[in-house]
Amino acid sequence: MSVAALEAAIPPGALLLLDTSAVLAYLSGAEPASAIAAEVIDGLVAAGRNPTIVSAITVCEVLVRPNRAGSASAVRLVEDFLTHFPNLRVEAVTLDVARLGARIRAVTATPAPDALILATAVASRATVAIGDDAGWPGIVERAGLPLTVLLLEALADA
Amino acid sequence: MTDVVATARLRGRNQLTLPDPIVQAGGLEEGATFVVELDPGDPDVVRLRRVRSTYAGALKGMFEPTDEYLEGERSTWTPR
Repeated sequence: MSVAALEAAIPPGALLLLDTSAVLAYLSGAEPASAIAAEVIDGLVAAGRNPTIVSAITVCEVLVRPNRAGSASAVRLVEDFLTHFPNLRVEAVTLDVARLGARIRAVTATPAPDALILATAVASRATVAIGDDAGWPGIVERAGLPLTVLLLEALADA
Repeated sequence: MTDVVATARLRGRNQLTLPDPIVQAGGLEEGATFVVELDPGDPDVVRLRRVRSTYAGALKGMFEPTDEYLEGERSTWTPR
């Protein structure tokens, strides 16, 4: 995808939420979605065009493997990225997020981590969620969430 | 590999100039950003860690295939 096409798909100034799948593709660099994830994060996010959040659930999910591998340097690298990369911040699972996550689960039977991450987006007033889960657009529609889901592979193919 | 060690003096307005040997050994450039850490219980140790301009591919080999990794993590929320 060209930079122009990417910028057309993501409105300037829109607060983005990155799903864990997007963060993993970015850190991996070896997945089909890695290049487009890098264009979003190193381009739009780093430049400040689109401030971005990740859920604390994502922090947990991403840190499991580095911890299991006993790699302190990998843990530190992930934490540095998630907590110090420009225009990127981690949002906690607050009471409001938990309440909204429960409503999403009640309507859609979505697994708890997905529901909590989507709830984080809505509670933080993010308007675009970026990930690689083809089930998310349907969940957002059924739950009536004010959120646009952009799938990395669809962006890459556009 | 031998550590590169040099001395720097804190000047007015908390300004600290990184010594040339450190800058050269680290390939540091103007505009580089750092995380500065200090444990109040051990105030003689100040850690300075560079924030990369990109983390793309920084953990290649750690998570692949990422879809299976993530599915594995999320499946642990399913009741047994």
